[in-house]
Amino acid sequence: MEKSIAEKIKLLNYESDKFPMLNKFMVSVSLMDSMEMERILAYLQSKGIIISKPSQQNVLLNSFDFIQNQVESMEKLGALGAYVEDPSRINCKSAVARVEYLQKNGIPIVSPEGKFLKIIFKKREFEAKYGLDYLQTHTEAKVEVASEPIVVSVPEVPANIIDDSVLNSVVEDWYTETTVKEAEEAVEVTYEDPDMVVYANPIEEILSKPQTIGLNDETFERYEKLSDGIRHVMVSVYNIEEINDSITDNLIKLVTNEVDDDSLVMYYAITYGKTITDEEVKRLKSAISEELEYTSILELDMRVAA
Amino acid sequence: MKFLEKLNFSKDAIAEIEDNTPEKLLELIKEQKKLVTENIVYLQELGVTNYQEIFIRYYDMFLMDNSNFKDIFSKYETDDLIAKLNKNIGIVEYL
Repeated sequence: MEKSIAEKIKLLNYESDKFPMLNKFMVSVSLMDSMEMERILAYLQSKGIIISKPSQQNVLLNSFDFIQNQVESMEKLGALGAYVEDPSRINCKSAVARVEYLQKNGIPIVSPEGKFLKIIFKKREFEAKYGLDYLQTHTEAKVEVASEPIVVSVPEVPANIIDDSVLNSVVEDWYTETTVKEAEEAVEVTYEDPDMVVYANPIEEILSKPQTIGLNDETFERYEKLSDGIRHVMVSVYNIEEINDSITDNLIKLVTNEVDDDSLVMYYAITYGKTITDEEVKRLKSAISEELEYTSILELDMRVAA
Repeated sequence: MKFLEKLNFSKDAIAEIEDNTPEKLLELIKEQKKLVTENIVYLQELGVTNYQEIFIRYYDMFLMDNSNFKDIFSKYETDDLIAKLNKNIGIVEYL
């Protein structure tokens, strides 16, 4: 029996900080065949290849035979590590031929830093540098692509779900995880008896934990729409100034206990230069109040820090 | 994938996309070319110069609903966003 999207996500076994990144790549999850997905995941794992972030999961849309062919070919060439570094490279149909060509010509495939050369997976760059001879060099490891008709459809995404982004990773000198950590240390959320919550899916589980979220001005103004997309929500509002040097965030903590199975759930956002005004707090309280009437099972814990 | 040529993708760039994309997604991209076009055009109009690189690497996100797609990028200060994307398109994953 085909699994739901939430069940498929669970199979991917992402660390919790990856969940907010999922919505951008949810189409690939919706297209996956769960049986094939489980088989491929087990195979990749046996080879030490782990899908660690949502942008890599599209590799699971290939047939098992294609993936096995790619992996075994690369393994024979001693270049399996390229797939371990980034499993989505398995998608690259010509990479094996390029590795063969480089090795045959005594050209290193690994950088001095020990990373596999990215050029192997970039057709234009590779051909500009080495020409098309690699296509003749490659004689085996024919790629088998699933021959059955492909039926695809775009998943329906509820219109009321806010689709923003999350502050969940270090990105050079941009928004840092430290910001979130500092914010979480600076605020405290209380909610009653979390053991009462029964989690139906991993998204629900992660959302059941306090999320520290900085809302940008636009998202903040759209809060009512936001609350439409998140059922059963408990919110704590804090005004934390001077986080991350000069940055001021609107931080909101959300605790949910119910998420529709097929929903991408998210909201979140990164913001800066904004302080919650009294009027915004009033509007927010009103929105939350309406939401609590809907659920009536969670306690509102809302306060604005000094 | 010919529709990408109208969006300034060269034949070589399209060949690279085809080389790096699972067949199922290629089919869907062709089927949903109107949606994909809208999303690419949005990045072009926003002034994102390396939109082709972004598409080649993160093609699946271009299958998102256009309004959701816009929401990802529109909440940032445009010049700052473009500068960051030029420096490292890897940030797309975290937007």
